[in-house]
Amino acid sequence: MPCSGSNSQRQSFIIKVRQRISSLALFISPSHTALFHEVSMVLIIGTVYGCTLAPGLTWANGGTDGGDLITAAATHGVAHPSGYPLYLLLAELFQWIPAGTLAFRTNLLSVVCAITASVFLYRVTCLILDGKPYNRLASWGSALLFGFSHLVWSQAVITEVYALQTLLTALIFYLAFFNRQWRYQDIVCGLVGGLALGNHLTSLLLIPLLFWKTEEFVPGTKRRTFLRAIGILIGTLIYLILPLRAIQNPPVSWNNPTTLSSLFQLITGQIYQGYFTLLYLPDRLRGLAGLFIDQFNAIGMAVGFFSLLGGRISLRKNIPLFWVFLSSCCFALVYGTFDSYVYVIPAVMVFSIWIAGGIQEIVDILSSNRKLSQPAIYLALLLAIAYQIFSTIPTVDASKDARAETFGIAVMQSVPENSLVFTGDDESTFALWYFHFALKQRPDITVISADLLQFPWYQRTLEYTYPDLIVPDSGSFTVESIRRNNSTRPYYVIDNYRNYLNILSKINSKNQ
Amino acid sequence: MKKSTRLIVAIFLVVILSVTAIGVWAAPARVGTVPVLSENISAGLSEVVNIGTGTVSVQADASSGGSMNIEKIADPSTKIGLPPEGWVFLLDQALKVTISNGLMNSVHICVPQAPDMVTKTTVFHYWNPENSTWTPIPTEVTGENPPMICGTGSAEGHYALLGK
Repeated sequence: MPCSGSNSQRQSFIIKVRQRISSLALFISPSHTALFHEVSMVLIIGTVYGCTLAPGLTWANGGTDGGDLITAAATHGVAHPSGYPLYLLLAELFQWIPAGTLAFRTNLLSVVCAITASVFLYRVTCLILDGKPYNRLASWGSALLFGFSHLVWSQAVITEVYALQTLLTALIFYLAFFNRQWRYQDIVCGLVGGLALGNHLTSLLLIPLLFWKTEEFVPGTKRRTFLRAIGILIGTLIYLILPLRAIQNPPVSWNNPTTLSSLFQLITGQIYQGYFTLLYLPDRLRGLAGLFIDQFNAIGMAVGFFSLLGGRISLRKNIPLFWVFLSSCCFALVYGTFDSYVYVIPAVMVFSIWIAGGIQEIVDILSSNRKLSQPAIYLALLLAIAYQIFSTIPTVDASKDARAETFGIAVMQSVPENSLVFTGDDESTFALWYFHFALKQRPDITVISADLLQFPWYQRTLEYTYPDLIVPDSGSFTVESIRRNNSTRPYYVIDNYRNYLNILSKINSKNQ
Repeated sequence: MKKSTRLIVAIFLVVILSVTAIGVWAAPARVGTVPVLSENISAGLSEVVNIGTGTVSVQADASSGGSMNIEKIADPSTKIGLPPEGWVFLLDQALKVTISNGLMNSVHICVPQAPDMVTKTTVFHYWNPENSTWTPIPTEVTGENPPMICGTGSAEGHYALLGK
């Protein structure tokens, strides 16, 4: 009898496992067409991204923060506000890959995220156009166009947080539009939302999607809302890894978040809050128009508008899309940094969905009137995608950008022993952090960011990172006072990386 | 809406966007990840104030609580006055030095010598409000890697590095 008892236990266990797998399969498994589309997307996008991927540290495509992110991940440190804990953890995983340089391995994270984001966008678009003819074909074409849009591609081939943010945005879209019930759906939805907040604060704009009902009737709404809110809270707990890292005194530890107030200041990006401005609004509105035409060219824009005016996507599904489109554009318009255009990526994603609606309708019209064959449609889409690739590639190709590596190597090779190296701009500061802290080159020198000297947390970081540095009183941490206190050490001031490269080129030409 | 109407409206919208679009994203010259120092810095009279990789210090007979204020003024030729003939502003800004509760003996301003300044004559100037001209002040180049250009003035007011 114990034997039959254990058999029935085993059978019920097997049934449970099957149920779990089938519920998981419901979430994952695509049809054969979908599988073909997804595999072909991975191959096409992966090949093109691979050819344009930065081989090392890069400043291409606005990627100056790469040195900070790579170094923070490699030294178990804390990156610039808001700290990016999810990104740092994933970057550390990729840094374990046994191939290429540390920077190359971290760049790979962006490639993987951007490809996966395109695949999930394909699934989202299939769900939104569900039941319409050629919905998969149109979704495939528009997701490829999205993957090869200037903005997405530019972030896919460098170290930055925006490719991961694009993936998380696509995932939130998918979870918002996936209406069939599956186990742990609500808690997972919330968790993804919370983790997205752990990557970038602009995810706050996406959180309403997780509570939006894309169907007429959803049972158990209150309980589900509660579970999703709990999931979000659990996801945001990822920020707690930041104090755990900071207490180990890493060389890169922005805000040194070892207290609640410093953690709060870091997460809320207090030092950047003054950057919000309406000053550039008129010019940026025109820049936004240019940005969208740059992503999809005039024909793609016309196809998107054609779909938008047709109302083929139901209002219930379009309202969250409009919200994401408008909110992300507004954020980009008023955030006063030179690279705030990257915050438009979720709006680009939404416009891709509208383009898919247009492609679907146009293919439907053409095939019913002229009996257009499927291979001809695929060929037309592939030609459009090829045009997109060849017109975008010159502006995003990071594979030949060696400026950051040249600069970093030159400084490491040229500065005298025990030098104090003061840096001015982001490029020189983060590139030198990468070579000095992440690659552990030239441990004899001291790299000091002049502009960060104003912050007590940075003064403390210098004290524990360089115990031999004679530091001034906390009230007078300046380039001059550090130089005076360490007057026996040679010093370099790299106010601007371009100046330094000019000096080097002159020295090199003299030597030749 | 009829398909043909939608198509015409869609093309019209794209034309409007194309006509109004510009290819640049308006932004300040230097707002990056490392926050630059404030345009307006206040400090005690005995302190050395950072201005990027340069510094400002004041020698003063300070009564208790004396302080100085350093304000960066962009586009000095428009906001203050044109440089003397043959001279140009080497930095994009001038500095306005003001003192509260103290009597200033001298102000000492140092900035790193950029490579493009090496072949030029570089002299700090003080804006003389009485005759509205930029007047040269004692300036020396000290140190190396890179050398620092340091000027010493004797009054509150506007200072700028000029070159020719």
